[in-house]
Order: sequence, then structure tokens, then C-alpha cells
Amino acid sequence: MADLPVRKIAIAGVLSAVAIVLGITRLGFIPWFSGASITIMHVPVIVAAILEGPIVGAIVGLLFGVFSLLQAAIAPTGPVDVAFTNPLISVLPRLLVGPAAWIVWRLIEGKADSGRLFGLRSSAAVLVGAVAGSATNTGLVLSGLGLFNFFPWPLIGTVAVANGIPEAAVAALVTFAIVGAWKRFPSGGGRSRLSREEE
Amino acid sequence: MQISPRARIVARSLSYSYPASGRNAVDSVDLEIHEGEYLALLGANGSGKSTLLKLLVGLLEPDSGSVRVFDETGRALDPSEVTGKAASRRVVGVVLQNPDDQIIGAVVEEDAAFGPLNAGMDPEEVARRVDAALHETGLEKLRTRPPQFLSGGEKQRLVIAGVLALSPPVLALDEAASMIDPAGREALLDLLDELVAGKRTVLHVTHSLDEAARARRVVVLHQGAVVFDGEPRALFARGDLEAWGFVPNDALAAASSLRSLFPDFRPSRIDPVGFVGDLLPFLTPVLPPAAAAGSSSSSIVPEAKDAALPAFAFSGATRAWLPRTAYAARGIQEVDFALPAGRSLALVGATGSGKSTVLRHCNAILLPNSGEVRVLGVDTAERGADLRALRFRVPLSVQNPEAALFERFVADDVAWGPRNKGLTGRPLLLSARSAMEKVGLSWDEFRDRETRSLSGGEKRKAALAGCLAMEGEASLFDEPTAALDGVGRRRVLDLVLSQASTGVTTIATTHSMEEASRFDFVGVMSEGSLVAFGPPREVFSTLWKQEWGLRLPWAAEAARLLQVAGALPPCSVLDAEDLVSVIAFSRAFPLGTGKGKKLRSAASDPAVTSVPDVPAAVNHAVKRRRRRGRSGVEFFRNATIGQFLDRPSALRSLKPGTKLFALLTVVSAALLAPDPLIAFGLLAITLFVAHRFGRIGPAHLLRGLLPAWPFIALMVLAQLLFAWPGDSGPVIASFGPIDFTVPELLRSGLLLVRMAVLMASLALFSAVTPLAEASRAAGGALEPLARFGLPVRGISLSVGIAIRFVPVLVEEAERIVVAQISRGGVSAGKARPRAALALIVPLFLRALERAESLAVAMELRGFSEAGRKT
Repeated sequence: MADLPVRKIAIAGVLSAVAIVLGITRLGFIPWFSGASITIMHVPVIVAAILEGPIVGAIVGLLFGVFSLLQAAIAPTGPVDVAFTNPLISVLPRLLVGPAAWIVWRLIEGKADSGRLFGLRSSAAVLVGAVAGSATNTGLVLSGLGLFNFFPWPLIGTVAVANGIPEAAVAALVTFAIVGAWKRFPSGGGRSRLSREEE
Repeated sequence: MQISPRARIVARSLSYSYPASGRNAVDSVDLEIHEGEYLALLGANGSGKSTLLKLLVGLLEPDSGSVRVFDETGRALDPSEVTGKAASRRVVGVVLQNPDDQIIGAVVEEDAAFGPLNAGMDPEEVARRVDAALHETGLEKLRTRPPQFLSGGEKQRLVIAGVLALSPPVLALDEAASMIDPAGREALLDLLDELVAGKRTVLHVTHSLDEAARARRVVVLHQGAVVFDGEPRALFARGDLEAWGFVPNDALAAASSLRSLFPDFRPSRIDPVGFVGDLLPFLTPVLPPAAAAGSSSSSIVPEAKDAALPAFAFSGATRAWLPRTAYAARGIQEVDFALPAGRSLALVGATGSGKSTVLRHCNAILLPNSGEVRVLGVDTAERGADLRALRFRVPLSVQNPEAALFERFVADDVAWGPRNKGLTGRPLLLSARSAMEKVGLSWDEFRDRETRSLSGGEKRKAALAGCLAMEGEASLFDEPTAALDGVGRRRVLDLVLSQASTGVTTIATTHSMEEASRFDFVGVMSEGSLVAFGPPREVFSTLWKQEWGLRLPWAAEAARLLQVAGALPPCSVLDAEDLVSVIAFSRAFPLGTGKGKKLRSAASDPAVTSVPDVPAAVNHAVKRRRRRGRSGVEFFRNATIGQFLDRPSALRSLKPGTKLFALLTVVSAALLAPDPLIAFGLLAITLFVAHRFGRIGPAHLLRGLLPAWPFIALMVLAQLLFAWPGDSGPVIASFGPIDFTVPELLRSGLLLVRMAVLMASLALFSAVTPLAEASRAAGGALEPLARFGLPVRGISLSVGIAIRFVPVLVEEAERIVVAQISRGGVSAGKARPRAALALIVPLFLRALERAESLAVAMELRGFSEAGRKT
């Protein structure tokens, strides 16, 4: 296989940087009930996969994973970070987030090329793709925690529901806003909220 | 000697129109660029000059007409076709506007080597070219520095070095000096002079008359067509530059006014030295040459205090970053000033002098470590102060505010701040509407336009409208005119000043002294201190000091030079109009040499010539009360990745590849170890090695455990409390239904120790290996996998780009956060989902835009997908 096109390399690098920046600036964490914050740090991985395909998604996931591994060891910002010093929990699951999101997105988007956007279908593809990516992240990370005996399975099931579901919802929302703005999905009848309110 | 110089680039009836645009962006342009020429392609925004450059270098394909680029052998290449493209890029090297989007390497020399490596040169040749290019651009001393520690000007010179390393005979620059400060710009223009002297051909695309004046030939583009082609002096002699969208600078304004006094006066240059040199023969000496104008020591005695309460009062305000650490950085120190309500202040100073930091204290985005800042009477560090409410009253427009636009439609973005303020319905509509009309975006035309479809100037206006819509009692603008063309600058400056004229206290930062001279007060920042504060007439004459390293406004500098030459009496001059009237006055009434009467030209408002005192009331702040020292935005300054400690040691000098291998071995062993004792052994070895060979103690390596204690406790509890399936080990103790068993204890121990090993080994690796080396080693380790189809080179490059862009994006993220906080979007620390979108979406969009520019820059430097030849 030939190497990646220059555009994909640039996007992979810059979106990895976004993932890292969301981590070190804490912008990627949204405070949630029960003290645990939900993270959107994996959104760059999903965006990369949907915009540029599974390989770019995997690269961004790899870098994001390695970063959270380093961060956990060097400057842990939260209690859960400790588990991320294990690369099988921090890196491996993240590698798969992008490809998972891409497969689901692709299945729904079908052959509808970006040239002719079917608003509804493309939107659904992005939303469901993001949910799939986010669920992959939550599922695999928590499975890792279970496999390495960090927590017993019933507890993990609870966390999966309490954190995984809002995380998937927020990831879908954010991904949709970004991809929609970048690809200029038509929405709201092409008019500003303010002028719709005017009437 | 009629040797016709060799043509380098020839364009014939070139036309191009963007899809979905009715008119030609470039309209039947004929252009020949010859070897050794220094040509400025000049045009206002939207004149088509950048499009023309893109056509010339093959980034766009013409609709009609042709481009030919001639290489060393005289062969004609067509940059719009596949084979000609690569070859013509070896002839024409291109530098784009924003240096941050063009630097690929993690350190200076690595970036300069990018092009030669793409061209498949052998290592010695690469090294030779990198040396030569860094020498030419004056960056030798900075060769191992990461780009985030370069100034804007140095970054842009690095981009030029990267292009020069490919030794193209032609260098083309697209607005390359528009985003860097005056000192950096001057150095860049000097570099261009040197390159031309060294027989290179330079094509400089610019909107700046001053920059174009440095070229030997100027081609002016207007509405896609060439309207002028000749020497700069011929261009400046014309009176119709405004028709082409230019704003005549002070030099041209002065020249045209002076022609009524001296009909033969035709300046050949428009910089103060050249201009004055041309003007002197027309003037009769009035005085023996003065030693230096502006040295008369009329110190400013603060006059009666302004009756109004100051809108902003700083007293001893000091802000330091990470004090007493290795990363300590100066913010501002001991800043004292008071700005009366309803007045305007321009803050000037070199990049990094603390202008923006002062501005951010003015709306409590930052709080002083010591000293006091009072904004509209509120002490910002007071615990009870409602900073969110205060920020609504004093909105701040950040630098490049357009980066923070996030709503899809213009009207929604403008209305975002007022909406956060709680406005709805008709008042909301009215505030958005009037703000848009104020900046010159007509409501009917622009409310439903998508923000992303606006031009650069329109985006700036929309962002400024978002700030004006807040309808604050004061307005703060951080470099509102940066990177705009002449007309855009004038409009934005008028807008900023019109705020002040309606009674809204206004503070703006700027690099342009000409702009600063139009404000009521000027404050000069130098190395974190406010070194001068007063009305522009005082600051730009009696208070002025050469040691600040700043330049005077053009007219003030010209007047100073004329005074030094003895052609003018002491006087204070701010703009071209002043200068001309002083010259006219001294011609009409030549002064006797004995009377060095001070001339105060033009009408100066006596009310603003006094420096208001810092009110004494400020000083009795209660010192002992607990005061706020953080507003929540500071963490951006502390954001770093990795933890490289630059200590010489055996481990530090080990090859990064070896260290990486050792790290991977330890990590795998820790993960596979079945027994806590083995893990414990690994931990002991790691800590011993770190101490003995790396001079790093266990406390540093394991300090991550401390903040994680709640999790560790939870984990151990989970191990102990739950009954694990298949656990039939001996019970140590039992409390009611809960048994503590030996396997549970062992498992807890293993988890703990394993965590410690992973943490210690990763921290050690990161402490003794700089990030750039680590990523290179990782790339090397992946190399063998290329055989299995893994895009190894792409991955390695992505890693480098990621590391490169983290500091760039942190800075951008900080700006976006500050912009949104200023519009009431987030109260620091707490983020609601909608507010999170307002931060995250623009960050991603700007990142994606940067990625696209970067891809273009990489392509222009010869990157091809086939990979480098070996």
C-alpha cells in the first residue's frame, strides 16, 4: 500500500493535536453528575474517521491513546487516569474507535457521495456513527478495566450506563455540529435562528 | 549593454473565476517576471492578487490563458499540468501568509530539512542545504529550537529557510509579512533585499504600500486586472490610488499636500528617511541642527484630577506566570494608570510586552497576583465581585476574533452575547441588528449568511459586531486591525474610535503608531511595564525613548528627522496634516535662531493633555482580606505535554531507540507479571536505574500516585468488598457477609504495584527523552511494519505535526475561551453543553482549516505520496 495522501497526514496530525489539547486544557471534560466528568476527548478520533476514513481515525486514536497513557503516568488529572497507565486500556481501545465509527457511518451513508447530500440520511449517518465510536470507546475501556480486575463486572455495567450513555449522546451532538459545519449540511431552512424568531 | 534578462514566469491572458461566482477573480492578465527582479504584486483585499499567485504556482488551474515557468535550462514548464507542476515548484518556492500553518518540523533544523528530504537528497546534501538556508535567514543560532519558542518574524523566516533549502531561483511570498509585528516585518523585508542582492528573483504579493515600496517594480491588480506596472516612485506620484482600494499612507498624503508648497516635490521613497532626504533640498534651514528632537525635558506634571471616576484604574498591578519555577514568565509588573470614563486609550509595544495581558485584566479575564485593578469601580480581585456581570459591562474582543465565530449564521453569532445576557425577543433582535449596522454589515444582506462563507474582512466585522452587541459601558479590542488591508484597517479603526466618541470608554492594542496617535491616550508597554502614558502628542515627542525599540508614527519620525537636520523648529507632529502645516508655518514665519519657541501645531484638545492621576482612593485596599488570585483561564499557560527534565545523565545521552525498547520491555513485563513480587522487583529496578543513571528520585516518578488516591482507595475497596467468582482462597478476616481473602489482597497488591511500575517507567522515559526524539524513535521502531502495508511515513509525520500543533492550538483554544467568556458564554470552570459547543466547534473548524493550509504548504515543499526515494 502506498503511503497516505498529504491531506490525510495533515488532518491526522492536526486532529491528534486537538485531542491532546482537549486533554491538557481540560476543555475535553464536561462536568457531570456524581463527580465523574464525561469526556469528549475521543471526538477528534470520530471526526477524523468520518471525514477522512478509518486509517486516519486509527492514527488519531493511536496518538490520543498514547497521549492519555503518558498523561496518566506523568501528570494524572483525575483518579481514573491511573488505569490508563496500562496501554491495553488506554491505547488499544482508542485504536478501534475510529474504524468502528467509520464502518457504521459508511453503512448508513451508503453510496450517497458528499457531492449530493441527502440531509436526513447524512445527518443520521454522522449521529449514529458518532454513537458507535463513543460506545466502542466506553465499552472497550471498561472491558479493559474488567479484564485487568480493576473492578468487578457488575460495577462496570453500572458505569457503562451512567457515563457511557450521556457520553455517547454528547459525542454525537458535538460531532454532528462539527461535521455539519465543516461539510455545510443544510439545516434550519438556511436561515438564522434570529430571523426565524423575528416572525 | 542591451541584454534582455531571462524570463522566469510568463502569463498570457490568464483568467480565472471561482465556482459560484459571477465575475473573474483574475481577468486576462499578461505578466512577465524576469530573472533577478524584485516585483511586488500589489492589490487591496479581493483584487485577485492571491488568486493570480495560485495560478502562477499551479495551486489553481486557469479557465483560459496560460502560465509558463522557465527552469535553469530555459525549458518551459506548465504548472497546471501534472508533470510540469513538480518541476515548476523547484523553480518557484512559495511562502504563505500564516507561518504557523506551514511549519512541519518539531525543531528548526528539522523543518528546514523537510523539502530536501522530500526531494530524495542524500544526508550530506540535506545537511549542507539546511546549513546554507539557516545561515541565509539568520537562524543558525536557533537551529535546535522548537517553533513554539520562535517569534512570529522568526517563524516566517523559518518558513523561508525551508523554501530556500530547495534552492529555487524564484521566491514567491503571499502576504507573508501581514501577520507579524513591525520588528519582524522589517527583518523580513531586509532579508528579501539580501536575497535579491544575491541574484534571487522575488515576487512579493502584498496589500501594503509600504512593503511594495521596497520592491523595484510594482504591478497593481484591481478587480482581477493589471492596472499599473512600473517603478514604485511612479506609482506613488499618482493621485488616484484610492480608486484602486488603497488608503494613502501618511507619506503619500504628505507628498500630495506638500506639492502645493513645492510643485516639483516627488519623493522617490516613502520611508521617513528617504522621504525626508528628498524633501530637504526644498527647505531652508531655520536652526542649527538640533542634537535630537524630543529631548527637551518637559516632564509631564499631572494636572488637576479628572472629575470623572476613572473607568479603569491599575495600581501596582502585577501578574507573573508560574513564579519561582523553571517556566516562570513575566506577565505585567507594577502597572499604574487611570483612564477616565468616556476616553480612549491605545496600548502599544513589541510582541510579548504585555499589552494583551493588561487588556485581559481590564475585564477580569486575568486577575493580578498583587496590586489592584479597578474596573468601573469594582475591585476585580474582591471575593464578592461578580465577574461575569462585570464582563458583560466591559466586553473584550480578542485578537483574530473571527477564530471564535461558531454559530452557523451571522445574526445568531452576533446575538450570542446578548442572548447570554438574558435578552430575548425584540430587544435581542434590535441589539444584534444595530451592532451589525454599526460595523457595516447590512442586516438584510448578512443576517442569514453563513459565517464560514464570509470574506476575511467580513468575518472580522461580524466578530466585532458580536462584541458591540454586548452594549457595554466600555469596550476592549485586542489588535482589532491586525492583518487587514488599508481600507479594512481604516473602517475598523473608525469603528473603534466611534465607540469612544459616544462615551464608551475604549482601550485597544495596536502595532501601528499612526493608529495609536488617533486615541486620547497612548500607553507604551515594554517588557511587562507601562513605561509611558499620556496624550499621543506627549508620548510621541517629549516622553519618547529610543530604547523601547519602537518606531514613531511616520509623520512624527519625519518631523524628528527634519528637526535633526535643522530644517524645522522643535514641534510636535502626529500626522501628515500636522507635518505639512508645520512646514508651511515655518516657511511663512521663519524663526530666529535664538527663539526655540515650541510649536504646537493643529488643534490639540487641552482636556486630554493632562495625565490623570491614579486616584489615591485606590491605595487603601484592604490587604489582609482573602483575595481572589485566579479567574480560571490561567491553566492555559501551564499546559505542556511530557515532562522532559533537561539534566545531563547517562540515561539522557542513551539512544532514544534503546530507551524506547527498554520502556516497552518494562511495560510488557509489568502487564504480564502474575505475581506482585515480580512487579515489585520491576519497580525497584526502575527506581534504582532512575536514581543511579538518570539522577531522578522516586518522588518525582511516583508523584502521580498522590492525586489518584481516591481511585486507588476505591479500587482496593472494590477488590476487597466484592465476592469474586471462583475465589476459594483462605479468609483472613470477615465482617458480616464480607470476607477478606488472601487472593483479594494479592490482587490489590498486584494492581497497585503494577500501576506504580507503569507510572514510574513512563515518567522516567519522558523525563530523559525530549518529545521530538521520542517521536522519531517511535517512527523508527515502526519502520519494519511498512512491509505489511502500514503507512509508516504518514504516521511518523502525523506524530510530528501533532506535537508541532499542540502549542499552536492551545493558544487558539485560549483565545476562543477568552472570547466566549467575554461574551458571557462560560463562567470559568463550569461549562454547559451549549457553551461547550461554542468552544469546541470553532476549535475544530480552525484546526481543520489549518490542516488544509498545512497540506498545501507540504505539497509546495515537494511532498509526494510516493514517499522519498532511498
